[in-house]
Amino acid sequence: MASGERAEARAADWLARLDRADASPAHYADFETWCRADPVHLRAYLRLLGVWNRLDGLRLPTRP
Amino acid sequence: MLRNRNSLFRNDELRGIRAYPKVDATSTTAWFFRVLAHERDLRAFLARSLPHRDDVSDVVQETYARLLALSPERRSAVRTWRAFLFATARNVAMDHLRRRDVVSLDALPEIQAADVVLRGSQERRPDEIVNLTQERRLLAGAIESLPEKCRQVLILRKIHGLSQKEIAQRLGIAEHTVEKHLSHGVRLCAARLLEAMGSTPSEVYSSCPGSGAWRRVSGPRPAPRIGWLV
Repeated sequence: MASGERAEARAADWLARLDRADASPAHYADFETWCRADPVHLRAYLRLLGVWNRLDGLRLPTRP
Repeated sequence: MLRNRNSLFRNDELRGIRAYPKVDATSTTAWFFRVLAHERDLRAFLARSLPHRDDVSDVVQETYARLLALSPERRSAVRTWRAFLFATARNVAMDHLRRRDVVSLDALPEIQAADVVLRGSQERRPDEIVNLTQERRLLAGAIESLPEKCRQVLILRKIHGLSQKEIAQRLGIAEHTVEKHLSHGVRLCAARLLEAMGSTPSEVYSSCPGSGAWRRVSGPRPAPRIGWLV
């Protein structure tokens, strides 16, 4: 697997992990370490985060 | 309390965008973290300035892309990131409004239904009800293309707004499995969107070395509406 793909796979895992309501401070600390390890990591994460956030554009309205 | 001295993330920063780190001046990415910290204010500002809610994230992403494309010299000349961020966003928003377009809806049953409900609830004109922006159509197409279980989980999370825990309960699967489906799903969606733009992920990465600009530099320009996918 190319390093870009590997970074993307890890970025996707982080996205899903931090999306959990029970994501802990330890998770965020580990995420931060991963982000700092290589600029490629943060870029891969932000790229997927863009897609992830865009999907909210399809959100159904919440019922009162 | 989630805050501690060693964490970049404060409790109140865990809402919305998840990466709001505290600034560390020694980090090579510190300037960008400084920018990210203003995202909530930026979104509020854009929501007031733009006629369509859907445009806000477009503009935010394109703004980040422009900031990341700055040369180091230009970057170090920025004195107030907040002001620079807002000024850049204003320019992006202007460009965005100029090129905004609406295309007719393709047949995507599940998403189509969602769109009619969404638009209908906002009392849009009838012709608007049967229209999706190109971006929404692409996003919907990406979700539609996912493997069955993955698609189901992503729809519950992103369209119906259920939490991972609620999805696990609803589908009778482990929370860990929900997480895996979401991780897989977002990657597939990203790949599918790039495909729709006539590019593959490896092409993008190969043209995006570790430093400097990371936008796609070769091949045809993607359609303007999806300029946020950097």
